[in-house]
Amino acid sequence: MNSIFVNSKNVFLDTVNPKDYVQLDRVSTIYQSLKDSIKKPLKMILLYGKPGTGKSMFLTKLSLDLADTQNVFLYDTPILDESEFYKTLAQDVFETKYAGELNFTQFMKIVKDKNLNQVPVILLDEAQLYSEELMEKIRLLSDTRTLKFVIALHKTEKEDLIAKEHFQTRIWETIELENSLPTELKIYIQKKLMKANCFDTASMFNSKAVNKIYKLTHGNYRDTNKLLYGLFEIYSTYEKNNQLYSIKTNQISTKLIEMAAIHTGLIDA
Amino acid sequence: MLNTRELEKRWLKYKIKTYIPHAIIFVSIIVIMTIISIFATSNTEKTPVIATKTEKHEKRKIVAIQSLQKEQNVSTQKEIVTAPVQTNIQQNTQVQTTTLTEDTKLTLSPSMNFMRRIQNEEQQPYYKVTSSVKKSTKKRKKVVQQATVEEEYMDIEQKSQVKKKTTNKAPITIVKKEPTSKPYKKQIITIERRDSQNDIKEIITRFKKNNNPALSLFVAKKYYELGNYEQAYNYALITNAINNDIEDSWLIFAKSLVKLNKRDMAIKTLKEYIKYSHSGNAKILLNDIQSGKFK
Ligand SMILES: Nc1ncnc2c1ncn2[C@@H]1O[C@H](COP(=O)(O)OP(=O)(O)OP(=O)(O)O)[C@@H](O)[C@H]1O
Ligand SMILES: [Mg+2]
Repeated sequence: MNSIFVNSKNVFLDTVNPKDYVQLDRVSTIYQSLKDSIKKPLKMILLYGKPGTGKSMFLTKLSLDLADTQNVFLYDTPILDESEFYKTLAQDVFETKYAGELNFTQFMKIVKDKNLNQVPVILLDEAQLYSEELMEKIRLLSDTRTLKFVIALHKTEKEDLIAKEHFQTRIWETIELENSLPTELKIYIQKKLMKANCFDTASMFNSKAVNKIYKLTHGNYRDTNKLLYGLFEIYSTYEKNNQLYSIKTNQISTKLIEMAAIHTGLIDA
Repeated sequence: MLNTRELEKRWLKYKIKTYIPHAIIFVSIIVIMTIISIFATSNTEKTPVIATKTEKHEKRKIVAIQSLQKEQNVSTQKEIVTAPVQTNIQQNTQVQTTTLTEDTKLTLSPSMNFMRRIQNEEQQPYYKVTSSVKKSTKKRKKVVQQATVEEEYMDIEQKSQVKKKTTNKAPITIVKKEPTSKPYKKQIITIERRDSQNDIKEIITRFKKNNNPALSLFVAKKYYELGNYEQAYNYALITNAINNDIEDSWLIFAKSLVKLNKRDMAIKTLKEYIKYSHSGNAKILLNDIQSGKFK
C-alpha cells in the first residue's frame, strides 16, 4: 500500500501534463477568450507571464482541446535553426519532406501553394529564445493568413515587449498570465490533490496554511509545486521513521511549511 | 533520504534568527518604558521633597534664633523626613536637595514675609516644571501606543493636503481621506505626490520660458499618472500644437480622452493620427480602446 503522503508528493512534481490541468476561474476566462481569438482572422496571439505562471500548461491544454476540431501543432521547445524550423513545419503542417536546406522563400512558396481548407494553429512555447530574425519571419508568415501562431514567452516588461518592433503592428492579441491569488491558490492545491484521490491531505489545507504558502511563493505555481513537493517529502519521511506522532496531521503544520521552504531554498537559512 | 533532524535544526536556527529583531524591539521597549516610569516616579517624588524643604527653611530660621543643641535635633528630624524619599529616588534627588538648601542659604534674611514670598516663588516654578515634565513623559508613553501614532500620521497627512491645495491651482483629487489601517504607507504616498506636484510646477515655469514641447509632454504624462486627465489632455494638446509629430503626446491625448469619457473622440483622433503616421503603438492603443481593454 502506498502512503498518502508519497502520493500527495507526486502530485506536485513539476510536470506539464494536460490531464493535471486545474480549472481556475480567472484562467478559464482567459482560456475562453484565447479560444475565441484563435477563430478570428489574421491574429497573432502573444501569451506572456512570469516563469511558472502556467504558460506551458495553458498551451498544452489548448493544443489538446483544439485537436478535436482543428489542426494544431505544439512546439514546446523552440527550434532555433531557421532552416530546421521551416523543415519541421513543412513536414508537420504541409506533409512535405525536405532533404536539404529550406529557406524562407522556399517555405513561403510551399505555404502559398498548399491550399489547406482550414488554417492550422501553431503553438510556440518558450518563444523568448527565438531570434529577432526568425520572429520577423514568423510575423510575415502569419500575415499570409494561412498559418496562425500562438506565441508564449516570459514576461519582461510589457512596455518592453510593445516597444520591440516585431510586436508592434501584428500582434493584436496579448494575454497575460499571472500568479494566483490566495483564494485561487487554495483551490489549486486542493483540486490538484483531489484529482489524485488524496482527499485526506487536501482537507489538511486550511486558510492559515495556504496564506503561509502564499507568503512564501507569492502564488507562483511552480514555486508552490516545489514547496509542496518538499512539504510532503518531509511528511513522508516522518511517516517512514514512525515519527508522525510528533507532528500535527489534522492540518498542515506551519513549522513543516517553513522546513520545506528551507529545504527547497525558498527561505534561505 | 531527507534528514529531518538536520532540517529541524536549521529550522530552529531560522526561527531564532527571525525572532532576534522582535526580541530586540521588545527588550528596547521594556527598557524605554522602565526609564520613562523611573522619570515619572522621580517627578512625583519631587513634591514631597519641596515640602520637606519648606519645613527645613522654617526650621532654619528657628535655628538662627535658637541654640546649637537644638540645631542638632532638627538635623535628625530632617533626616527622618527625607529618609523615605531617598530610598525611592536614590542619589539623583539627593544631589538636588543639597544644592537647593545651598541656594536657600543665600536668600536667608530676617524678614518672615520676604521668606514666604521667596518660598512661594520657588514653589510655583517647581510645580510648573514637574507638571510639564509629567506631560512630556505621558506623551512619550502615548507615542509607544499604536492608536495615537495613527492619529499623528493622519495629522501629517491632512497638513500635507492643505499645503497641496494652497500651492496648486489645478484641481487634484488624489488622496481622499479615509480611515485606514496603514497610515504609515499613506504618508509616504502623499510625500511622493507632493514632490511630483512640485516637479510639475517647476517644469511648467520652465516650459513657459522656452516653450519646449518635451517639457509640456512631460507635464502631460505626469498629470496623467496623477489621474488629472483634464490637465493631461490640456498639456498633450499644447504639445501637439507646438509639434504634432510626437507619438507619445498623441497617445496621452487619446488616453486622457478615454478617461474623460470621450471614447469616440479618442478613437477618431487615433485613426487620424494613424492615417499619416502608421504608428504601431497608436494602432495597439486603438485596438485596446476598441476592444474595451483600455478603459
Ligand atoms: N492550471 C493549472 N493546473 C494545474 N497545474 C498548473 C496550472 N498552471 C500551472 N500549473 C503547474 O505549474 C507549473 C508551472 O507551470 P508552467 O510550466 O506552465 O509555467 P510557465 O509559465 O510555462 O513557466 P516558464 O515561463 O518557466 O516556461 C507546472 O508544473 C504545472 O504543473
Ligand atoms: Mg514554460
